[in-house]
Amino acid sequence: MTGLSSPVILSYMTLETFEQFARQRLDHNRQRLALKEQQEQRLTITYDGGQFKVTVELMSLLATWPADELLYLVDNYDNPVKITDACDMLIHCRQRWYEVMNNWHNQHEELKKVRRVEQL
Amino acid sequence: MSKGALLLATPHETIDYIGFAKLAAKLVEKHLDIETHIHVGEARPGNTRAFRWHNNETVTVPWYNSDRTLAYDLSPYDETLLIDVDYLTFNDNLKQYFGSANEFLCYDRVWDVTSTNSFQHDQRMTRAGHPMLWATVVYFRKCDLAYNIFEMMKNVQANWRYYAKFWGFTAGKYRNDFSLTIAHQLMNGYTSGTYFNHPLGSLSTMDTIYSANGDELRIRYQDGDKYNAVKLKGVNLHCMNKACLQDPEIYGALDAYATQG
Repeated sequence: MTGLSSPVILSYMTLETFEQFARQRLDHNRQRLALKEQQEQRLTITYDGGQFKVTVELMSLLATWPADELLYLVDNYDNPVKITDACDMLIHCRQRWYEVMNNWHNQHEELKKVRRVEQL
Repeated sequence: MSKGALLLATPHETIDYIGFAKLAAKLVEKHLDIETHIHVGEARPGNTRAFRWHNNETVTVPWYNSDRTLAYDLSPYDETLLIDVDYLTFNDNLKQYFGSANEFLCYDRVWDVTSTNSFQHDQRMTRAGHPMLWATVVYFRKCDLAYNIFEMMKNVQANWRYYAKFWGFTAGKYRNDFSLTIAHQLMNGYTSGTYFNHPLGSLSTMDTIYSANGDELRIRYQDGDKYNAVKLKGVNLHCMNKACLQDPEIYGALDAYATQG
């Protein structure tokens, strides 16, 4: 036999406010998704005739590649590309990375501050 | 190597395709820094299309889309970006494709900017579920592959009912997306080809741009019985809602932005 259940703590939240909150979250998530999509599209560079997605891995490889060694990379379209200057490519990657991530971060911070997307 | 954007427009009774083409061309020049060429075609009756706008109004209007297969012949450039007149360029993403090793590129994915899955029925085009490609934006170089794709598209266009039956889709109105998908598949040796490395940002006919300020667009979309908003900044957009593009306030704001240095 079970005992008495503990008293229900009444919430001041109504179903309407729950729904409103859920909608705001949905709204925010969609805006975050839109932001991610638009920024990721910009995270590419063309170099030596190839097109490359700028990633942490690519930048790490370029940063550690010996300057006097030949480098071949496979681009976004599965073309092997001979990289003439890995250091120079790294500079281009870092520039693009900074530009995109800085913009992404700023817009993300702005989004965090508002309750509704219309307020942006 | 000359490079530029080609826009095909046709005079229309109710939709200002020529005005859209001028706006789209200005935006391309602003962001991609390339020449543009607007080809004004002849209105050849036959095809119609029903649009359902954001205010729930449904209109059936003539649809002049038969010139697209002529793009290769019409383009004065060695490298061409063929874009729909309702495609608004707000960044330089597409610039990087010029001078690359690619011969022909189009979109194989669509991104509904409202994240409400408006294009779920446009992912595949046949009963067997063949993935659909988008003819909205196409990059091509003057080369054998591009020439053959456009020639094949002409063949599909001329024998539309045959290809519809053979591939397994309804032979209603002629659609360039379908024609491109078939031609692209065949001319790539029955395999998939090369595509832009990001999806085509699109706004459905039911969603609307309610404010434009510089490269910032505010989109209103219906979600169940309520309306929500999403903000886009510096995002290229295929705006299928021509009604909102014709709104003098929206068009005016976009045109002012496109014109300013």
